[in-house]
Amino acid sequence: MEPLEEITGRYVSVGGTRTFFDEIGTGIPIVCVHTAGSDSREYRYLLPLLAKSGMRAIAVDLPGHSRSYPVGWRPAQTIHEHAEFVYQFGRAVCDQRFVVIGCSIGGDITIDLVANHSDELLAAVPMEGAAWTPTFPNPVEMSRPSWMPGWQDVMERAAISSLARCVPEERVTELRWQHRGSQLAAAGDLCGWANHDVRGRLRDARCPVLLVVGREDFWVPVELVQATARELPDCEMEVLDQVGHYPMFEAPERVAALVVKFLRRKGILSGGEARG
Amino acid sequence: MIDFGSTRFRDRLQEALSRHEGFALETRWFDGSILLEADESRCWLKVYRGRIVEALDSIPPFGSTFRLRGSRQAWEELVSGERRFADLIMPGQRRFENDPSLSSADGAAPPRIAIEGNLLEATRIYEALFHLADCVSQVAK
Repeated sequence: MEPLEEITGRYVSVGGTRTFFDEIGTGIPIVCVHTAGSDSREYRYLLPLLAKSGMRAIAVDLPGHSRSYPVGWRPAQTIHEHAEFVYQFGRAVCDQRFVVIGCSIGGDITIDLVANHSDELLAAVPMEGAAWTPTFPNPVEMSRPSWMPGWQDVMERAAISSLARCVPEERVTELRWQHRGSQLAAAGDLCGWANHDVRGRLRDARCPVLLVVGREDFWVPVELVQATARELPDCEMEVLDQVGHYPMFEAPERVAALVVKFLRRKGILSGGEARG
Repeated sequence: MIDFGSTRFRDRLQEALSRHEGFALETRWFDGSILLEADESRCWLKVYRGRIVEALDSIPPFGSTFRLRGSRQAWEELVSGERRFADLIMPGQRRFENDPSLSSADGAAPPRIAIEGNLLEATRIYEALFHLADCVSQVAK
């Protein structure tokens, strides 16, 4: 018999929708949100690091992704839909306010939560997201397999091409497999990405925000993140060298250290030096 | 350097593609042609079941199934590694070094290298296009 990993997978009903999440650790809850067309597996390396630093690390499968069913059997088409779901999910599994960290559409989702629920969050860490992300075409005419039979490779290549060049081949292959999901759900995610815009709605945010962007991520220009930072009243920004579109997957130790140090600076997390 | 119009470049590209197992795999059930354009320099490739059957420096009367059209500069950005192939062929403006106001931001902005023609066939063998791009870069260096 092989030893089992400490990450545990669980299900919860969120407004009647069966939803899957991974979790590990106890303490301040941090809800992790994955990228377009992928799922909670993207956080497999970061979750244990956050748990070691005294957090209850949770990674959710958004509706329609991997083991979470879609709400009303219909994939989400907007970032706001996803964000409201994540908010309800957080309330369903956490008995207190929580931290949210998200990447790509997860980053946009996190920023949407800051725009709409900042007083109910402990902190927010949007990665590879911004207040406005018009960097990819709206895939509405590509959303069905009969309309675009090559979607699978388009999605996978969009993902792995945006990893930093230094990422080992094994990890590139792993990320590729993490993007072999539903075309309908992924297209809905990217419709959301293309139409996401909460500019002008962040100035009254009440939670601290740490914006993270990989310098090698061509999908998210640093200028968009800088413009977002200028709108937020309590914001820090980190640009990570040798990191692309998936910081939590490419550099989990660096991300864990950043997050933990940020939360300690803000008095949200107590304890000694951050590991990683 | 990109020089689709030269016999030497075409021959080397045909040879590289013929040796590429991934390209052969992905075009196993493709019967068509791919036109590569860098400004006025062209290379037309007839592809049948994983093999490059013919390479020409001009467009035959029956055209091409689809084409990859870009400026020579765009293709050189691929060769130099300045930009990834996925970035070059996907629509959308993603460079703002000269646009601090982000006024040019547009998810539908034309790509640096456009895929035109039968897009169903082009995206069906999307993976093969990346192998093709790798071979173009290899030959151009």
